[in-house]
Amino acid sequence: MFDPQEVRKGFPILSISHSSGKPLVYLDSAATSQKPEVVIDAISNYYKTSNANVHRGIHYLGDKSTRAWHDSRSTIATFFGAEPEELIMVRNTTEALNLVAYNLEEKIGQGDLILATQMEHHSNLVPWQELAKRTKATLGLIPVTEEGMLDLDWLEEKIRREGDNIKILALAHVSNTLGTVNPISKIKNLFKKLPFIVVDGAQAAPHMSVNFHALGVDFYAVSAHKMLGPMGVGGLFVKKEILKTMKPWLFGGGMIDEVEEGSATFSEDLEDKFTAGTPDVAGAVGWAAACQYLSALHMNDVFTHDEELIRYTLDKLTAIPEITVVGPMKNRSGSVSFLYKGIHSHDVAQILDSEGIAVRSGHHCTMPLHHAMHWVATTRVSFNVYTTKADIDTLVVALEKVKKVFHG
Amino acid sequence: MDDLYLDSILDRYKHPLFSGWIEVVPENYSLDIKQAHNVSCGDKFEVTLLRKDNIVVDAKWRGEGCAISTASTDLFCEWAIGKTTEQLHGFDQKQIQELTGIESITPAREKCLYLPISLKA
Repeated sequence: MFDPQEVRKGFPILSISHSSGKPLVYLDSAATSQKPEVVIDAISNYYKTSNANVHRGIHYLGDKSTRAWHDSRSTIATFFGAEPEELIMVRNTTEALNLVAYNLEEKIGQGDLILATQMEHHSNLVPWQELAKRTKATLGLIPVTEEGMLDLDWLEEKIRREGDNIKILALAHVSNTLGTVNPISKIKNLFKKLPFIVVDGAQAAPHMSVNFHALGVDFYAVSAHKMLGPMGVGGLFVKKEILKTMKPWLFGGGMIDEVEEGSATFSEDLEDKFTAGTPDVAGAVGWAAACQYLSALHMNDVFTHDEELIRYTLDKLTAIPEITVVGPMKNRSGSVSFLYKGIHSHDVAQILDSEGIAVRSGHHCTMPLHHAMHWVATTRVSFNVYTTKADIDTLVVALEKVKKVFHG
Repeated sequence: MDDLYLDSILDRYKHPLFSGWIEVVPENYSLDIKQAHNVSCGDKFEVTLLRKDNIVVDAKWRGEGCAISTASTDLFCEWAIGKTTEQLHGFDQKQIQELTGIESITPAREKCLYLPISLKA
């Protein structure tokens, strides 16, 4: 098991001071994680030693860059238990989910049902709202129970009544607000005839071992920047048999077979077909370095570390009378969000910032969930491998200051 | 950033002077209802402005928001009383800075401080 105090030393940004001179306590990793030096160096080294455009350059650097691109894709895919050609590189989870929504457009129509959930991040909701509008399909949301879990009784009933019409099920693996880990296998087992299953893995990938094949879903979307990698690169894993029938959605260089004046044919190579234009090679290299870094820590230990932090934070926060923690008390991952009695989350966050602590406040891109639960806004503390129990202790002391400022 | 929570701001937030809702409109008076939202924050305020002869004679607000947007809205109501509609239209960021005593604010909190600007029109 790794020691998070040791891990911290590998993250240059964690040793800088807050503008107040206080040590920086970064509890906003669900928004974006900090980056270890090995990731920063990998990106920097790529530009220093390997930069050239991929595939086309028949020269030393062109070969080096192409190799870096392929090796990185391979490392990332392996990390997620997938084959390299099942990975479409995109900018982020949002782009990945939009890609799926555009690609499934021709597979659904009027009378069909798209199911998402009430706890979805806007990125896994708005693309489906738009798809429903374009196709005249209906969008339904699986409700969330008081405990912060998906209402599987509701889903069971929905499947019983309208199972044949459900064509797409889109859901988060881990909720970015509630922390809930959704039971993907259990949910799959409720269906007699499986719809396309689209999973937003942005909040799961940093904290648990994700095996795309074992999970058995059709689409799995992730962002590198949530899991110690760089911003601007992400991936969509697609089941191979679906990928073979999928049409490209971005057209241009790199993805073509032959181009004539009036038309073009597209590459049969699955990787090329979905890589239009110059890819973010340095981003892929950085992301691969992040995957290697996490593998070296062992994802099982990363998961255990997160579990311990969750338990510790829940214990500490539930002991504060003014605080109501939202989300389930078990089977959760990555973050703990809470309401502070009588104080808006922006005010909580601002006071915490004055103590050097970074948290998230607001609706965390889950407005429908906040409305359904009648929360104006929540404050979220979130973790990664460099988060320590001492960080949580600092938070608890700073929350005393929040009380002092507002309640005297 | 503690500067943001000046005693005057916290005092306004905890004990606002203009919270309420004007319902009675006497003859020859007119009532305007204005709304301001910060959707991304969950802030939501409504203001009733009572006018006679184009001059605001009373202002009250209701709603919910953070300490900054609440204090700012309360101060706006106080300021608005006695102003003509034209003067109200001149309400701007500089005016809010003068009223609140907050001269600079981080980008993330600008929407909170300047929320009442959308109440003027």
